[in-house]
Amino acid sequence: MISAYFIHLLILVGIYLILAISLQISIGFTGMLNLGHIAFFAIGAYTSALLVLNGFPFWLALLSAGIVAMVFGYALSLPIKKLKGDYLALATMGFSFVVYAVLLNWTELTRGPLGIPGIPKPSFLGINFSSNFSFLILILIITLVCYFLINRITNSPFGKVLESIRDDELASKTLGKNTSKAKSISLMVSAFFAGIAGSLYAHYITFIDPSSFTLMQLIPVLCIVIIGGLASMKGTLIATFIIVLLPEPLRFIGFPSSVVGPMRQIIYALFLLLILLYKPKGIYGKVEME
Amino acid sequence: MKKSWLKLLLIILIIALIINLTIFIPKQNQEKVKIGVIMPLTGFLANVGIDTKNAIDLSFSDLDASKDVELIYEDDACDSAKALTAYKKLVDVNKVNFIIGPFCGQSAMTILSSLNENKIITISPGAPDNELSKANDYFFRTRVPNKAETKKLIEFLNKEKIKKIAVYTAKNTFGQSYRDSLVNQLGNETKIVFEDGSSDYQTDFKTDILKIKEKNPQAVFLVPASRQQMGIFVKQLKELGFTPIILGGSVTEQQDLLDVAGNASEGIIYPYASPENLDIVKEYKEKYNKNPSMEVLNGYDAFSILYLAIKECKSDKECVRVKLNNLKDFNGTMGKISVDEFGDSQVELILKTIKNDQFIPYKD
Amino acid sequence: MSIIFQLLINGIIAGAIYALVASGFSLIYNTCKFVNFAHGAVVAFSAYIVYFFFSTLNFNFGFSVVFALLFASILGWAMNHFVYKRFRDRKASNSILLIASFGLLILIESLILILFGADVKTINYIQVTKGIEIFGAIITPLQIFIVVSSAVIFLALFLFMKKTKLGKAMRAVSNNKDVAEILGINSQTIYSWSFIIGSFIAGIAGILIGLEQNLEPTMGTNLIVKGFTAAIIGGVGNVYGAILGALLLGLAENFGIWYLPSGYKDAIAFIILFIFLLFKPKGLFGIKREGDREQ
Repeated sequence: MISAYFIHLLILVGIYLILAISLQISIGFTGMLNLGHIAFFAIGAYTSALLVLNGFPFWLALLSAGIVAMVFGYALSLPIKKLKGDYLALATMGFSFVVYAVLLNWTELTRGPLGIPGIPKPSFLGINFSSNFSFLILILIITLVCYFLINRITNSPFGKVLESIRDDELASKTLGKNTSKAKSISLMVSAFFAGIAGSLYAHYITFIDPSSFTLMQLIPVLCIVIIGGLASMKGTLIATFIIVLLPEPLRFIGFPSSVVGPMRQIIYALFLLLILLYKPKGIYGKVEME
Repeated sequence: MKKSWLKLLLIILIIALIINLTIFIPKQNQEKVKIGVIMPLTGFLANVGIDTKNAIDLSFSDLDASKDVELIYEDDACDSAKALTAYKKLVDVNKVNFIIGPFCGQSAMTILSSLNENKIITISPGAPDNELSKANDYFFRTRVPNKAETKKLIEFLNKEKIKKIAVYTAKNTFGQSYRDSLVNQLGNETKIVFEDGSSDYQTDFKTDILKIKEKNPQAVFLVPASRQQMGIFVKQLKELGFTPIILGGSVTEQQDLLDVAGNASEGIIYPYASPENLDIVKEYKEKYNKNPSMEVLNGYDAFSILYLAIKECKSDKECVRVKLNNLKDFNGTMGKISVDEFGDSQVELILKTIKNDQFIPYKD
Repeated sequence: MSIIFQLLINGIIAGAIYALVASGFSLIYNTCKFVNFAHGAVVAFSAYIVYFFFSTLNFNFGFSVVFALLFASILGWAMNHFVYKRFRDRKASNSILLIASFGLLILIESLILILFGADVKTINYIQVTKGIEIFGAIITPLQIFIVVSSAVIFLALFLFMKKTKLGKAMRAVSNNKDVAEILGINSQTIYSWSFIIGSFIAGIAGILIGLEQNLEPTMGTNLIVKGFTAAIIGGVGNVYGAILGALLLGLAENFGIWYLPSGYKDAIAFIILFIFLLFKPKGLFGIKREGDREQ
């Protein structure tokens, strides 16, 4: 029997993996440094939670989470079309702050800081996924599907267009590609999968509140994308395991508990800096960040 | 060539990690009963979490519990996912039957359904959410429920015939649960003329104060997002020359407030338990060089109560649960504690105030 | 009427605080061309240095301030020399530098957390009293000092950039690095000086903000977010634009909060940022420079 603790960690790996590969579409393949990605995660989580608690079936809530997030992805893509590099990063970061503020203050919809408790575990085709193991299977299936889909998208001709935008947008435009449209679609797809991840998160953790969806929560995901290597699905997979599982052995070593937390942060930060410095392509990456 | 070596190395690394997690588990000491503790040891409420941990440790050593019981601490940083991970690790790897914590509302709400499933007895010294009262049979609190505190304040409001009050409560579970308690219990004699709250990291309240001032309330009910916020708010109140009666929650009694606000904190009125056991307060101060606040002492009591039950019941969860449910007049640090039908602790409360940098009982 | 005046004062004070952070940040951003999040950590660091020397070791306040400014400048220089320079040597893009600066911010804040603990710390140098009343609005002496300081820094930077050799060299590198190098300016030296001066200003910010709002380990993160927002609003290409942008931000926030619930304060900052990025990406006073990233 696999331990419940380990199943829990694997479930987290699954959720983070979907979140990370969805971010890869933006950063790795399209070259858009989207620091607001956590907002799509949040939107997916809240959409799914609210729908299920209002009587909608899980599968519908899951899809809606992706779709609603996708709509926001589209909405975000419009104003940032002309932005690049750090400006794009700051604008998308700003977007996530705005979403956070709305989640916190629109109490009629979201219950604000009190959050949404009692989110039920998924119920699907008559099966109730309430046990840890069954949830793990569900996550595994959904994660595989998402991985497969994103892989197909990025290997398709459309994916090549995205990569051309990342490498040299001007050249791509010159060759007649509608880069604005491509960037919009890229952000939409990225948001869709982040929304799916958000829904899974909400139904697993069973309680969500705005504090789970700030910029700070994006940092591990960003680390995964960079350390795994830009535009590398395999790299992202391995990096997710590393980032999610790496801090866990620290629990067992016996540092004084008040030091473990900041130590964990320091290790993340150092790891990130070292990878950026000495292996900026990440583990498997084909490109460096422009 | 190099790439495939790198790949191999990585795969080995991952396998090593996996093995690490499933096999490298500390040897289980079968004689001692294990208690897991979930506290914010990093992050936004780290200072409170660490203080509470110290209080629990103090109780542990005062009661000489090391021969029967082992404490295992995990950090949740007041984050839902981390709280759930800490919980799973404690229950599954360390096989604890009892947990002290979590401290934060969101962590408590997150592990609630798992608690029910695994039937883990949990005592929280801090979680403020009103919904946690009678959340399930296994969840207890040594924290006095907010409604008891607000009840005392409303008595004061009625007595002083205060007609207009402003409510400024932090935009987090802590502040909102206080706000809800107050609003639900407020009678018709007092009207809320202004309502808003601070964000977690806010440090500038000048415009909020201006808005409050404009509504001209006689009193302000103030529940900050953190210890330091209360001090800064009160300091800015004084600087802006606005002096309504300030009513706070039990968290008002902290050294941090005096440090930050100085004499601006004079006159704040708040409910507090009347500590019976001043020795413990002194002991804490000697050992950790600061006065323990009520939330911290709740941690002390949480351990004491749990230990008392465990001494008699050992690992028997049902036995402990019954004992906790029936706890009456236990000599806690804050007076006599009785557990009510909601799993909350009832303690006698009085009103206190700040005068000459001292926390003293409030007299008319 | 006095309400509007008080709102104005509140906005100016908030703007001055943001300006203290934004000016140093902008100086570095303009010459080195990347978003340096770790600037916030320098602000926090200098506040903690003052605390350490004044409150813990009981040194004279003046000495503590001098140490804080010294250490802040050294930290800034060190970040550039030991970290960013290495990245630049490998021709890293400014997105990578942005993420690296994030890493540094987290690193330094975690160190502060370990060294000083999570408790709020106070620098008890100034008594808490009612402020001075001017035309019905109230302001404290410290707050007046903060506003005056940012005005002085504004003036000093203006004169520095226009009149001094180093200032002009910085502007040259900021406008067109390649041409500047051809003209004999050593860009590496300029980068170092940007960090030293920018971090010195961050030091001033840390001390004043520490006195006004107290210390906690994550204070840098919140400040730098407002700081770069202000810098972009004010305009890239000149440093004093950042200060004006900061002022605008402070005023917009306080007037905005008069009408909206307090929780939207940060959102206001970002909505303004958004609007500027969309319609006026060069900010209010931005100067066009070679290699602008917008088009």
